[in-house]
Amino acid sequence: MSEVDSLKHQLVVPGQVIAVASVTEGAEESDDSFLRGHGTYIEKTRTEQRLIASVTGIVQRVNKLISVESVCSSNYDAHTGDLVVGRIAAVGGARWSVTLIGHARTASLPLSGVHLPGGVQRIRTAQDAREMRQYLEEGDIVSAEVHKVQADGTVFLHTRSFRYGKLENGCVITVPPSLVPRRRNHYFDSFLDRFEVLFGCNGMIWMQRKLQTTDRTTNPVDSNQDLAELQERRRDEHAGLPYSPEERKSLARLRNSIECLRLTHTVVTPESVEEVFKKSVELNISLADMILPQNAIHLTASQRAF
Amino acid sequence: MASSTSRNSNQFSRSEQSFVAAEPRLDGRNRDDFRLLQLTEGCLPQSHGSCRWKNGICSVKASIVQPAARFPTRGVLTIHVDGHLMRSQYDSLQTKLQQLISLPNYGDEAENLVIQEGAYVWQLNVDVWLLQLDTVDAISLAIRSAVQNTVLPRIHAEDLSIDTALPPISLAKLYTPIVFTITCISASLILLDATELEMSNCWARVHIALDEQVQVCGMRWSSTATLSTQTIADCIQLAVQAYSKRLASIVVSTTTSDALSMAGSIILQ
Repeated sequence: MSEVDSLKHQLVVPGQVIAVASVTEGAEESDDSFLRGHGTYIEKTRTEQRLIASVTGIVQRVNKLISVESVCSSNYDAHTGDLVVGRIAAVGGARWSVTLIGHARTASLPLSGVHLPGGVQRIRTAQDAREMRQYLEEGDIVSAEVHKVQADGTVFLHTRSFRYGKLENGCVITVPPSLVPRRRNHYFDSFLDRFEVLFGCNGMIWMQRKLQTTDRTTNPVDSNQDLAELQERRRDEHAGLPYSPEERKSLARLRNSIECLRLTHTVVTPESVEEVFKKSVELNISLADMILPQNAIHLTASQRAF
Repeated sequence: MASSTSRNSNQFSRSEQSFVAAEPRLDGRNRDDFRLLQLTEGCLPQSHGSCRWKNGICSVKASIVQPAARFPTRGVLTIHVDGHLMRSQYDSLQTKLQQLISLPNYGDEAENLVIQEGAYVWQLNVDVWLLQLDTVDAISLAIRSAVQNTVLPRIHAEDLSIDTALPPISLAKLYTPIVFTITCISASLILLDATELEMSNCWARVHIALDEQVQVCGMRWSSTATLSTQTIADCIQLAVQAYSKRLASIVVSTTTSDALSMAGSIILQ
């Protein structure tokens, strides 16, 4: 136990042994047993179990649960409930393959995990499987929630909520995942009063103009189906309507604000993005000049001060 | 698996592609605004000249050859592009660069490459190693920078020995052509320095090589529809007008530069 204590908050490298537990014949737990957390794996011999780090990171220990939190900025550790923005890589086998991070294994979005168009609830048929491309194609961008993460790291997603689905008529920007901290809310439908922004935990951030609220019924929560249909209608309206030049310019300013934060490796939170946006307007910096190194440093200065 | 809709073979969604088919651009640039390009010269001490940038590294090694019979007073330039991906990915880039970039055949600087008229000239072997696939524009700028970084020893014409008495030749004033890639997205929208997303939706791509005098010295294009002479003229005009802007968007530093430009290079990576 003391060995594990001393390893708490220590930096470990892949292959480093974190803890050793002796394996007893009976079912009793030995004093030095542990629970495996993420970022580790177990090597078993007849007499002992060894917990070994699989990523470079810092050891975290909560009672008997030992895990390693990765320090590599481009690794994305999926947790159930994370909001992610991904791109469809392949379609087939009653599921879509979604790329969350450029280099890692694709996540899986099964056909059963999406809302069918029209908001209907029924068993998926072979016909649905054949028509998957009509709903989501290769290259499309989707927002989804992590449904579960298997022990071998495979991530399963779902879009079973009116908040998630295909994202159209907007702009996506990718930042290192470590720059997007986990918060209670990642979806902002009235960011700076004119944008709808999704901060994906995997580092992909989606931005578009705010959806028009012209069609709001007086009783929006009649049933989930109504809400889904309403959202679908609003999305279709938004997807078909081109942006005005002013809307494009302000979207470009938002995109460049996040780009500034990325260039200076600063944490990307709604507050920091808002701050950079407002400062760039205040200082009257032109859109193209915002991402020059000296301007990026200046605009993000207050966000990087500790 | 049969499907009633056609497959999208691009890596970007149709929605994104139609989104960039309008002005202003996604990052707020104008049609002729360039992204900042940071070049670091002198990074390979064993090459005669070298240059590094975010997506690759360029090396110039010189050798002595017989000049071509038709051009007894001209040096030779060969370009080779490689990387860690498959050879086929670099072949088209290499062909384009070889056809667009050539040595100037007039002026004092061109004469520096001649050791003995008709007998011996310098051949500059340019090797480009790409860490990531990059545009012809950026590579042409890196090549220009690497050639300007090149220092050649002076050679006795009689026995091809190095003349240690005279100072080495610097090619700092030798301007190889730089390439402008103009991306035609719609009938009225033509862009310079396009991002991957903007290029994925274009119907034509025109490469124009401009020399030091801002004259066209090379041109290539590929298009999926007829390219009218008016469009070509528009592209040439756009490139010519943007020449000085392009040069202004480059930051060149040497490997022993001061802290500020090093900080800048770290940020851009």
